[in-house]
Amino acid sequence: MTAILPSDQSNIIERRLSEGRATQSEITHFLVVHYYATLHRLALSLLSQSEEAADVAQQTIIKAAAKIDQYQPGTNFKAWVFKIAVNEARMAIRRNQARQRLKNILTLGLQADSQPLPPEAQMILSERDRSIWKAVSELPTKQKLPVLLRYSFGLTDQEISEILEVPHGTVRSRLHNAHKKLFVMLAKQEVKGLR
Amino acid sequence: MMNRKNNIHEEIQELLVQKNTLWPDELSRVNAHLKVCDQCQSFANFLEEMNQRNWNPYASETVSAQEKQSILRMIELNQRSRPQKSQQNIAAFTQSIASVAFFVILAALLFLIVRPDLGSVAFLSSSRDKSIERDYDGWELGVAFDVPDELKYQFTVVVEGYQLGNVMGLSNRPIMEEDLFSPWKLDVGETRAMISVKNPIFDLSGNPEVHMHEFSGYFNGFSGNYEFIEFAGRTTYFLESNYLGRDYVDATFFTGERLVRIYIEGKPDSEGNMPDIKNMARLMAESMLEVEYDGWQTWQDNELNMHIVLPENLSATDNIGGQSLFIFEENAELNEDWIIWYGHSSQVTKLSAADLREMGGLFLESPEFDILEYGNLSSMYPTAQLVQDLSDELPNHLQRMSLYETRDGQYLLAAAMFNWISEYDPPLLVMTLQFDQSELDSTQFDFSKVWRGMRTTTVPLIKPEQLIADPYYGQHSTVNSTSFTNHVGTEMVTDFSELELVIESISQKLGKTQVNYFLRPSSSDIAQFSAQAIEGRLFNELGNEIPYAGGSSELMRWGDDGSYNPPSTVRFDGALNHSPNNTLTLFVDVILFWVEATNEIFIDLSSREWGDYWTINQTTHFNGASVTFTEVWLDEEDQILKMRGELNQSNSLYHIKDLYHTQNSDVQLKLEGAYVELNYQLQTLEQTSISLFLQSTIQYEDAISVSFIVNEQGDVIKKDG
Repeated sequence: MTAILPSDQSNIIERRLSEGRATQSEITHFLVVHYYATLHRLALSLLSQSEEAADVAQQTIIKAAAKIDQYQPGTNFKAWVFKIAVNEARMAIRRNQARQRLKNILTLGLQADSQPLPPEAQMILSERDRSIWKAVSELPTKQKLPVLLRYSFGLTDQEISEILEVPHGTVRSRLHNAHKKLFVMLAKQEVKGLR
Repeated sequence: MMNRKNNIHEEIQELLVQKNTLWPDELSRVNAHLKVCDQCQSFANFLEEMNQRNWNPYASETVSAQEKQSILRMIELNQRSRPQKSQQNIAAFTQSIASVAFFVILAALLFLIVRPDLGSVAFLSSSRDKSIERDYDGWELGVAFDVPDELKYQFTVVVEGYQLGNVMGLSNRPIMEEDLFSPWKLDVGETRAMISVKNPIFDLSGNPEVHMHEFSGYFNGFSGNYEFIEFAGRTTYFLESNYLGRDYVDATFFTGERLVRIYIEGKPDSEGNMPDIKNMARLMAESMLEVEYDGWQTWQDNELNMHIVLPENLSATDNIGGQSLFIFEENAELNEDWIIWYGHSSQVTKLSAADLREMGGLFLESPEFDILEYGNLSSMYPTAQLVQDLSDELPNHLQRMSLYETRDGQYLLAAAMFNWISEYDPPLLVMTLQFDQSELDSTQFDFSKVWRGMRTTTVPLIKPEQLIADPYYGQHSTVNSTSFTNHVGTEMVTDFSELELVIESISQKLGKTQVNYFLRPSSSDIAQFSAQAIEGRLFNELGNEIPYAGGSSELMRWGDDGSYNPPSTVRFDGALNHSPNNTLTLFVDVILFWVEATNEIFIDLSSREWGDYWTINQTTHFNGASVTFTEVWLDEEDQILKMRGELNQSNSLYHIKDLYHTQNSDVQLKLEGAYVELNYQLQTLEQTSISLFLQSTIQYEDAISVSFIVNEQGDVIKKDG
């Protein structure tokens, strides 16, 4: 369902990068046109806050364009860009966590809740999908990231491993634990629904 | 047998996860198993649902072409206002960098031979000639100067940036000037030259007049005549000008490839200084070398008006209040150790945690809470033991950097300095790292560079250990997070013996006597204390209490400037029917201070159901006390998690007055004597763990007294106590 970057577009920019002919403006343009929507979706999935997600996506593009000399032509460009996006999102999560913790401390209440779904999303999702999303949202970030990257963005374990900069085996074990946890959580919800 | 069965399911489920890459025989084995195993079939269905991707509500978010255009414009605007290295620039610089790097390495080696005692940052102040000192290497800006000694000691050299966009700079002063406190003192009737190093941020067409125009626009009223000079391949001009009634001479020039603009400003105190300043500017300009620090980036926060520079693997983000920066490795997992630059806010640090809580949202964004919550520094600081004072290894303007070892097996690097706002709220840079020599070796250099890159002025008065030392160390098991707020940058009163009760004045009017008194620390080392004088009572020499209207209960706070404010006042309503030399004793009951502690208790519910009862042995420490929880019950009827425990007070000086939960109003705590009961209203049992943040209020009460003899005029003629 999610459109992943067309590989031929990647090839064009790859070629220009390897020839050292890609200007920063070109790279920025390319990233906005071909990556922005995907990056925005990734950030939204992690943050559930539209404005912040837009910031993360834009910041990712700015950084990617600025650091383009660090990209090694021939390696996975998509994974490289996603790696920047994930780190940007992590920073945003840190900020959010700080805000939430402060709020909790100083207002003596209001546990950190997972972000409520926007109304339009409530409309779109079936009850079952809402349950899955809720379960995924409640996963710790370490597990949620590989789940989102794999299932929402169709990335391979190898790509996830590159993005998160963890060994392949770690990706598999995190996914394994996430699967187990999700499976149990969903089964519990199902039982409750039957009651 | 059971294990084997489970293993089969695990194996099949693992294969299902990798379904797309299975070999045919593996696939048929999986399919065969699914036909006979409902559990694995459910798991397969679950994976199928995950793969369909319909569950992510944001997966269908789209961005229109128009939106993309506007985003592109925004990004390009951002890129224009933030200079970034382009591919071409990098390529063009490579050759020059190589040659410069060669010279830098050569200089470093030579310097290490000459001055091996200065450690890893020694090359920063390398000296090629006895009469010339490499005073400023440009740091991340990539330029270096030599400042001739004979001129250096005639003028104070300050390398500084002006607040124009992304301008950044560093402060530097010669060792001889260390005793000077702050820039404003330099401004008062002193001669100085100021060197400003700037990144190119505006039009860099090469016309210095454009830049000078911008600069003079910033400094309203700045004007003068240009004198263009070319040397060392750079376009330079001097400007003699008058600004705010003082004569200036400026030299502005541009480096060849890097387009770094250097601005040297000299403020002569007499006409005779002008040629010297001009000469110095020339010599410095001629000495300028490029130095490449590839991968270092400048960071400027939004509100603190501070600059830092970071190696590429580190990122910074402003905290919510903009009064501190979190510095961390981009790729680090959440909650791993971070470097934290702690920009103090004196207003906030002097408030207790209770004050903060009462003020609610007003201090919602205080940096202390961020740092305490994230870095858990407060529990680390009190246990930190000084290993090595690294101050001497730093360039002369960077003072007091130390290495500590913490109890939990980590290194803590800390550096402190004074800024120009107040000597009592020095910014701190701290970093924790694993207890590993090689990591320390590699990190220490980066740390000192980050520290050095902070744009501010330093005064070498206080060591970091003084700032982070906690008076409770060695007396209590744990120093909690929030009490850290009370101790930063100050020496707190910890005992009544450290307080003096001082009679300020006694006056008599119309037969009524008024006694004004105040409390003050007995040692000048104590910078601050908080105490509440709750009651004052006056007795005569026979021990009879003399009635009066009651004392003030205002909070006593010892101010930063050494003054007390406000003094407590005891006013006597009744006439003092004393004979000459009547002895009076004033007793004042004081609550010395309140300490708040926050500690976390973790309860694992992963395998629990409603109705479960189990025992635990979880102790959470507060100042001088601890609470040990022993029983947990998931009360199904009321959907409440109940816990019982006992409070152990080990400190006789003060007692825990109250216990409450800091984060969740659903958690109720009862403290009756030593008995503690916790009730937590849970909505569901789906969560697998619960963290409880308990907080305590500690009260420390005592009385202090002073005896005095007053004569008929009300003068204190003798004092004791």
